[in-house]
Amino acid sequence: MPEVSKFVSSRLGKTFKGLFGSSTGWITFIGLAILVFYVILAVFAPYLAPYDPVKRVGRSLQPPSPEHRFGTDNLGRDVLSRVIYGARIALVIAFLSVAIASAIGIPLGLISGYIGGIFDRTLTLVMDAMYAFPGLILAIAIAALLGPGIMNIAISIAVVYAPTYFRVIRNQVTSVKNELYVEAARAIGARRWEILLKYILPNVFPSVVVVLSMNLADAIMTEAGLSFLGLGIAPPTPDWGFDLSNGRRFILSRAWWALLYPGLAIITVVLGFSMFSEGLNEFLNPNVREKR
Amino acid sequence: MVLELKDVKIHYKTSKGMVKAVDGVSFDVDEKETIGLVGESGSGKSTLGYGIMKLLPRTAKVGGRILLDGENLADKNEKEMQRIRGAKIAMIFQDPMTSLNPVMKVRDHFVEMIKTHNPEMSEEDAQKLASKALEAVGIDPVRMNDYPFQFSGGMRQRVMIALGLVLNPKVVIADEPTTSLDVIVQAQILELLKSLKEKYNMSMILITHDLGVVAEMADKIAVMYAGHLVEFSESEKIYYEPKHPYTKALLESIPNTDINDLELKFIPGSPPDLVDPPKGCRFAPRCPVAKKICFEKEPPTVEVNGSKVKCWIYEGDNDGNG
Repeated sequence: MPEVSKFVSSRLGKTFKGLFGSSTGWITFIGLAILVFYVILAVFAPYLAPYDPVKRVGRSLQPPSPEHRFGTDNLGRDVLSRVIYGARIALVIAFLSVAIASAIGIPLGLISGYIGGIFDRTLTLVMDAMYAFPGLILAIAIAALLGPGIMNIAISIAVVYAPTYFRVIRNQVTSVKNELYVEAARAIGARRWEILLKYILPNVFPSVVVVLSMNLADAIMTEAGLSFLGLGIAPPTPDWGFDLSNGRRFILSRAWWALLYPGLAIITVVLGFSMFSEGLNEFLNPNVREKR
Repeated sequence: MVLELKDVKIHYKTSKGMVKAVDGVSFDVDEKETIGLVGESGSGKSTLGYGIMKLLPRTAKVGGRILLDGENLADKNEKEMQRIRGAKIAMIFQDPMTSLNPVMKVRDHFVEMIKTHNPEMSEEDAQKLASKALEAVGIDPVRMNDYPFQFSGGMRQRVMIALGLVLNPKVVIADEPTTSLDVIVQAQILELLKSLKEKYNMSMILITHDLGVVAEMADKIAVMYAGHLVEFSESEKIYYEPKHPYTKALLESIPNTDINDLELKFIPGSPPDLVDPPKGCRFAPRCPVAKKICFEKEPPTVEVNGSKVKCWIYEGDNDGNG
């Protein structure tokens, strides 16, 4: 059907035009570019890194030079290689923790919002109590309890963010479930789980996606914070947060490079996620989109 | 007789007490018959429509008997109702702009519905059925692949109607199907409903506050006031010889385009509080011809010249001149 495909492609073209026609379109694109850059770093780390990130490859605290572009740290390890490998830990933990958080928060929010009543009230209370804790403190407490390790860090971050998903989803569901099209779905004999999965979830999903991409940025920050405090990944593994706290000790020896580059990596990847989610928000929010 | 309502009561539990939104309504719907259900806002006409479908919130209790082909819907639980809704009794809603799922293509609305009731039917057969239904309401079946937002209000209402008819239900409940549409589209939709009703052999309950709409569509008219059915008769009789004082007042309050009659008539007062309704006739406080007994005892439903009227003024004389 050539006519249909032409129609689809022209619509796609319009979408892109709309995306780049506005300033947020560019912001989204830059954010996406940063993210793609870091994903490539993480995936191809063994090919991109000039040295083994956990081995002594030069003298301690050497400033940037042609052999070590980002210098070396106090144990003589190549900072560039550590920053490249660090992307792996950062992204894995970010995605893992957001996946766990949404796996807890989304179904609970859906059911709680849809069923309502005493179940909803109890769950909301529990989630609000969790939400009332300062995020990092709660993560520290859980991380201290579970001990170091990728999975444990991801779980402790996930516990902090699950209430956010729960609240966003639950509140959206309570308003969407009163929409006429949900009523109409009941009027055609749709079952409850069908209404929940086919009529309510797709309509609350855009806001989840935005929270998701924002949480990815937060998760990286929290992970860096935990590692900075020594509660993160076990030492020789390259990790931006740990390198940051390690480098801080030698700032007085004027070894700025051991601190600057992991810090820059954290800042840019978080910025990338935020910019991307900003654009995504505009793109997925029908109210904003229709005004274009 | 397709649908039989017998002493239907719908009560809501609220913090102030029981709201008796529908209180003892009885009427029959014959095959291929259109019943216009009229009344002002808050009279319980929509509640009755939703109550027949059992689409009310959990705080509502449906009493009495709602017999659809002999099956009492009032006793059915949610699971049993799911099989009946859409297949035997369908509903068309007031606002077509919001009654379709914005993230689902029109085709998927049909496939969902058909497969819910006929799980063994193939996707292709379901689509064929959908094409037929869309053609019947005057929409090119190619547009099945579009999303609801790509349709205008009138088109969406056509889609909703097609969706209601696709499984050939016995009864369609249309809750103010044209209220949110402009006059030209209104006329088209009403004409469409009329012709489809003939074609598909359906009965229809048309809920509206627009007496012009029912005049055009309905075979019989049921007038509701404050949860009571105050008058039930054939359309002509309602228009040319209204029996109940409320019906008379309602007909007088229709605005017209006559330049010599610029005064807007209305019924003084407002409908009673349904938590604690008046002891006698619910219309008595606003009624121009209320007698002493009207405030004391609920009027019986009497038959006057073929009309059923719930009023005291016909007690003792049956000539219908009250």
